[in-house]
Amino acid sequence: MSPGRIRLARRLAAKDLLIERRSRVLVNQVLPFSGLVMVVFAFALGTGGVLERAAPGLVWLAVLFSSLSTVQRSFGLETADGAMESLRVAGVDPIALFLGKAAALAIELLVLVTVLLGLAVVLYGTEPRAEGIVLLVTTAISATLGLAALGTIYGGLAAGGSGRETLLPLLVLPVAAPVLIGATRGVEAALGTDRTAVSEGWPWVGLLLVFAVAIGVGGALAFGTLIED
Amino acid sequence: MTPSPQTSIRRATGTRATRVLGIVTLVMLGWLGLFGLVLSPADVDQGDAVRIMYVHVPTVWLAYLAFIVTAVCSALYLFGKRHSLGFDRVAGASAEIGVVFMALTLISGSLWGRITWGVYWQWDARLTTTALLFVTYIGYLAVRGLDGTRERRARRSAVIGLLAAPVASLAHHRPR
Repeated sequence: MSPGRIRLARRLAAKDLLIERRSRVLVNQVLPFSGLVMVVFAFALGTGGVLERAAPGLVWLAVLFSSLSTVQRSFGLETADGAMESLRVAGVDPIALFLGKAAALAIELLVLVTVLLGLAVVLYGTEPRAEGIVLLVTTAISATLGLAALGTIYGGLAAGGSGRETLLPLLVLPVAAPVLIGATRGVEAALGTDRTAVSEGWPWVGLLLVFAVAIGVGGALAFGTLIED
Repeated sequence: MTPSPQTSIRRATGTRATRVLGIVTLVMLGWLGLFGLVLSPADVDQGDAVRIMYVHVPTVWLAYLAFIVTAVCSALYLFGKRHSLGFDRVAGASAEIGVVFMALTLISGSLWGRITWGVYWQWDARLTTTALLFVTYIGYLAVRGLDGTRERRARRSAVIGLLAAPVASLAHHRPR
């Protein structure tokens, strides 16, 4: 990959993160929403052992739901005043655009995952164990990369008004199923839920990485076609 | 009463080949019904529930075949030199057939499961991935319904059709 493309992607990611830092939508809206989802899960499932056992899956469900708002926000910025159109007309490389948007989204989602894992410790009584920390961090990063790439592909398609916003969950959720399953099993192994060994989590990290690379490469190549109107 | 202009210009889309194919299909359906419901005996283990399998298995194979056709035609449209819209139309029509037959697979499978397992649904890998595949192609059809010129719609749909296929297969071949 050319240095120019990487530099452009970095600038586009920095632009998205700067807008987020100034508008604070992630902090003021998405994080409270995801925290609320975690609390509502507790209402639905009741207290006791169920919550602790289901905690890894609930964390990733909350991440998945909140990622939809984050993706919509990320592309809402571009379509509100025709910024995406301007970038396209200015001849900005679609691959750099995809990589930049996905990188910014990945950083935002990683913050979200970290906060929600912390909330699971407080609300659901999950106990991280020292030997599972590397697996926990690797699972979180690889799953987040996959979700960010996926969100960027379909966010680009679903942006642009005329009822397209409702398409995003329908497109993202079925394809995100491998991430949800892999990330849940990875975190279960890292935390030792149901006495799972740490070694059982690594095949799932492999799946998450394959998914992230496949979706990342496919998305980078397809992004230009998806945002052309 | 004279026929309205719309009626008079309406033309049948069938050809001799499609009519022959239709008649052969109807005859074979009758033959299948006779064999499946009357002539074949009940299964030793499953009893009469096995007759659901005579519909369930062909519908799932047909659905998978239809999704493969969608993926192949999407690739042929995107990477072909002429970007023929014919491939796009075949991809779309095939996805519609796939979604209908996948729905029939899920319905017939859950009826068979209720009789055999005592429940309509079990959360095993095959059932879950089949349901996900079904929803994925409903999403594909929704993308086909988006606005834009025919060429743009075709390019967009071809990309989504191609992205759906490996992801579904990745979900199907997951570890454990």
